[in-house]
Amino acid sequence: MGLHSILKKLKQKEHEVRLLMLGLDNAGKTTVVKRFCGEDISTISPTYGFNIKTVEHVVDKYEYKLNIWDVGGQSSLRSYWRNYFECTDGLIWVVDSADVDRLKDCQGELKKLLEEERLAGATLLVFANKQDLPEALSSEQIRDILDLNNLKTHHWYILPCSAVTGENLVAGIDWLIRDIAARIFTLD
Amino acid sequence: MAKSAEDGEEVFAVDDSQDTLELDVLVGHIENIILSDEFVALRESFMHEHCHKFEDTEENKLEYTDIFTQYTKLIEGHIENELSSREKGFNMNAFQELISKSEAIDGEVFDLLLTFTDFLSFKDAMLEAKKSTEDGSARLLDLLQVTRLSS
Ligand SMILES: Nc1nc2c(ncn2[C@@H]2O[C@H](COP(=O)(O)OP(=O)(O)O)[C@@H](O)[C@H]2O)c(=O)[nH]1
Ligand SMILES: [Mg+2]
Repeated sequence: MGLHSILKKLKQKEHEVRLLMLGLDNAGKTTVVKRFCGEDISTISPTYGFNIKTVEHVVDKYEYKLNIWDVGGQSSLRSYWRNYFECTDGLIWVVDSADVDRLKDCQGELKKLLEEERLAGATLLVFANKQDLPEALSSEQIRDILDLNNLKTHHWYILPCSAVTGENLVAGIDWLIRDIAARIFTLD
Repeated sequence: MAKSAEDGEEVFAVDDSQDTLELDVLVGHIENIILSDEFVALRESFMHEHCHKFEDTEENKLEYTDIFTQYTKLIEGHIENELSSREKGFNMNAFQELISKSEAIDGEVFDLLLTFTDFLSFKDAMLEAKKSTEDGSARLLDLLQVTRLSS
């Protein structure tokens, strides 16, 4: 219990929310964030470090300040993910729904994350991304592969989406914010 | 700040309770601590030691995170130590209690404090420090050049 948690309390008063985007490399994390923020998505290159986007977003008439952390997902970088867990309110797990060969890997990585103590209080949003591709699996199929129905430790939700068309990105984030808000903010 | 607060400045209930008084005292201490020469020097020496590793690109290098963690530990440790030595029987938990109970906190001190724990503010400060170091050494080079020419 230090100064840090005091400041965190203050930030809650300002409706600040910290979201962490994770997933395998090439899942579309950076594209999702940029698309959500209304930025150009034509020149995105693989992430070797991390990006932070700060954006104001209104849900149910309340304005929230979202701090979105997007960290590289290459296997060599995954051991660094832990450095970004602290104070995370919402975890956004992005899946390349067309990358069938790596779904097992994807499931394993998510399972490990959900066992992390420092993410215990975070709400989970799964984006079954790249739905614009004809070979993409449905969000129900992804849900089953990720075994989400057996997940009892976190609030979770899965949505089919496409970072290219923008489909369901706002809907997903809105759900996430509502779930977080109900937990940590007293809205009046 | 939530939209709902737009109808008026959020004003915190002014009461004469012991709590408000104590909080004022602590906030005053914090203000004195972070405005002190010692604190400024502490920050500056950390900045100068690490700023050359920072680059002005949107994507951040993973190593920034370690540096940022060191920085927040240094800053927080210093403030907490100073608080304990200035206020007998100071206790972080009690302080946090006070803050949770209060409606809102005077802006400036906490805005400043928040910049010490906010990564993007930290990165900006590092880039600033780097720039001023580089400007400084460029000026020094100019100076040396002039000396050489005139000798
Ligand atoms: N077709 C399609 N391609 C996408 C979608 N989202 C991302 N991509 C592409 O997938 C590749 C990896 O995206 P990126 O955002 O860098 O993935 P990251 O490694 O998870 O950050 C890029 O070529 C993107 O253009 C999507 O919804 N549909
Ligand atoms: Mg990326």
